[in-house]
Amino acid sequence: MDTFSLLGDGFAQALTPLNLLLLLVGAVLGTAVGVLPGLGSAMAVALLLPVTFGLDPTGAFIMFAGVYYGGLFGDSTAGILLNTPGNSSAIAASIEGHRMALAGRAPQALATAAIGAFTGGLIATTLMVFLAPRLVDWAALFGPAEYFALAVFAFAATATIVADSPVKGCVSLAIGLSLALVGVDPTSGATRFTLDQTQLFDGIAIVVITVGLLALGEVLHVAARGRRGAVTAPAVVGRPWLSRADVRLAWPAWLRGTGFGVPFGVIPVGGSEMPTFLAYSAERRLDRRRARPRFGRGAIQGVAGPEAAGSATAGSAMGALLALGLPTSATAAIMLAGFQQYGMQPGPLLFERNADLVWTLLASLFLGIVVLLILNLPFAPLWAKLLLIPRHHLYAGITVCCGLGVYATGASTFDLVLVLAIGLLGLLMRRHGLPLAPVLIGVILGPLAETELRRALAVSENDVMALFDSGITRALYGLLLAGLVLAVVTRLRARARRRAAEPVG
Amino acid sequence: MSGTVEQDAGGLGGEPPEPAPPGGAEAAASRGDWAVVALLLALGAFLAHGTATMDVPENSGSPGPRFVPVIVTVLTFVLAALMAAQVARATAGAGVRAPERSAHGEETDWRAVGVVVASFLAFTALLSPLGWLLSAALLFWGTGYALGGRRPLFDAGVALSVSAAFQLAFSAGLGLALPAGVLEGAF
Repeated sequence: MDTFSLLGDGFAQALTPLNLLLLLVGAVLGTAVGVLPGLGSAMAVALLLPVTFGLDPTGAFIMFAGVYYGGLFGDSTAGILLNTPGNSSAIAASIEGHRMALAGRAPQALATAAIGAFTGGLIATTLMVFLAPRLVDWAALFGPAEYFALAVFAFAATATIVADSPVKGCVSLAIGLSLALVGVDPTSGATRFTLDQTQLFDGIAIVVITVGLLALGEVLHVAARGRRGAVTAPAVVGRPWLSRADVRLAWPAWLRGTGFGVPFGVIPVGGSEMPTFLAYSAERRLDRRRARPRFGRGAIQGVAGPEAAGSATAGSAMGALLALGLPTSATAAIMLAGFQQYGMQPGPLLFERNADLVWTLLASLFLGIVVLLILNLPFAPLWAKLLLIPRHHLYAGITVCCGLGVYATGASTFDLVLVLAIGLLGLLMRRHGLPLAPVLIGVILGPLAETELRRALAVSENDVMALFDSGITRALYGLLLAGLVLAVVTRLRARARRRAAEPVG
Repeated sequence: MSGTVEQDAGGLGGEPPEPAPPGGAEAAASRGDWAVVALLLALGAFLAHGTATMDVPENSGSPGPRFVPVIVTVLTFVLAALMAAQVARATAGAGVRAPERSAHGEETDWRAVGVVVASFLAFTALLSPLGWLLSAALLFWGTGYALGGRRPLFDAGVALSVSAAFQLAFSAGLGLALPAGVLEGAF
């Protein structure tokens, strides 16, 4: 098998002492950032992006692999122990996880989450290794109109289907698209919305936007809320071993969760919120059939399913990123920025031009999840100690990381002012319930959408129908329409049910 | 994304559950959201002005560099109108819904926000002249103070150790130089 030998080469590349060290450092840092409340895997990658600049591309991506999955392993820890999920994708696992913790089963909840993340990540990564070359063949059929359709799909899906208020989702998307317009237009060379600042000619760096929006915005939000929300971590005592009964309950949930997660990594709907909640409600429905339902009292399946789903989504999202060049989540979007930093464009051509790098990265993803399982399973209580850092020191440290991250990418004071401005935007958005994911998708895919749209229209001499000419575009728009209809129906039915349940007044 | 999570996705049949975020099942507009309308109008005005005054190179093809900005500008104004309609409706129904939404419009500790912003600006301004070690320590200390740290001397010690640790990790571990500033030569 061709794939096996390529992957074998990848492992040979990745298994040098230095690369293993980088992987370990990435995994430790990624888990640490993931564990911190309010910061998830997207933030782990954004803050640690500059750390990799001193490395060669291979080393950098090996470290990234560790960070990428590390954030995922870590982000449910705060959710389980404190009921403050690090990421929206960890919310579903936190519901039952926190109940388990309150019932004195915190070590078991953490272990279930770690094994869930391992199972989901492992299966998704394996599938991706074998499917990525197929995806690449498929991507070769894509022209400008198809790429534009994919981008539109991603925009509409993140802004309307996944966001809980479609108008607010679209507001966030418009903000993202506007941020993406700043800079020199690559097609014509016109400078746009730069206010004549030469520093803006290259556009606003994605690191500045993610760090400002996600990290600095969170710090400002915490500051704005004042003293409220201070929490203390419950002690994690006991050994994190799962009993045979636990495993019997958890393993089908791990697999089912993976099943929910894998397809969602390939569809650009803004990350793993959707599959984690799908997995959660599936487990809950199965649980109802039992003689004594466990949900509500800390059901282990309620942790296992969503956690595996989230991790599986991340795994297949990586496949979509590498093979199609399409970021399907905020984390993938920042990874894309990482690739672009080294002058590489993920997509079909990456497998031809940088094949060795791709396969090394895939191999290190496997190594990363194994390392992370080792780091997280026995040492989960140790990671939980991170939550004992006083809140003001924690956020002060995050702020310093923001300053460092942004300064290290460009050594420019202008970027520091810009990141503060975007942080304030992030505060405003948080206070008004505007979702952050559509901004990032808009920023990341905006330029791609624009280039491909203009290319398609230039070829067809401004005939708009050319955008709907092929089977692929029609299928994508059809799928999008179906998704929108389903979302509207679901919303209306949920509203009707709420009306029925709520007493008037 | 913090706060308690009350999620009941149970009886949803085969449909995708609403990925309910913390803070309520229905995230419709509330009265405070006029700020969002204002933001959208300002953004739309900026985009419109920038698009109108753009220097378009002569040989840029069709569709040119103005094409997408026009779409985004129109989108922004449409959203401002939709948002305004939602907020107006929420304001009208405020008598019924006010208690439910008041948690959303909770009082803001602007002083703490101001201290964080001021510390970050000071860090930005002092980074080159003072160097990483001192300016980052100041940023750490200021942010910590804003978030309720009340042991100035101890916090200053923590701040200096943290910024020193970053400088060491970056210069020794990764070979990236952070500005040394006034402490140049002290090492």
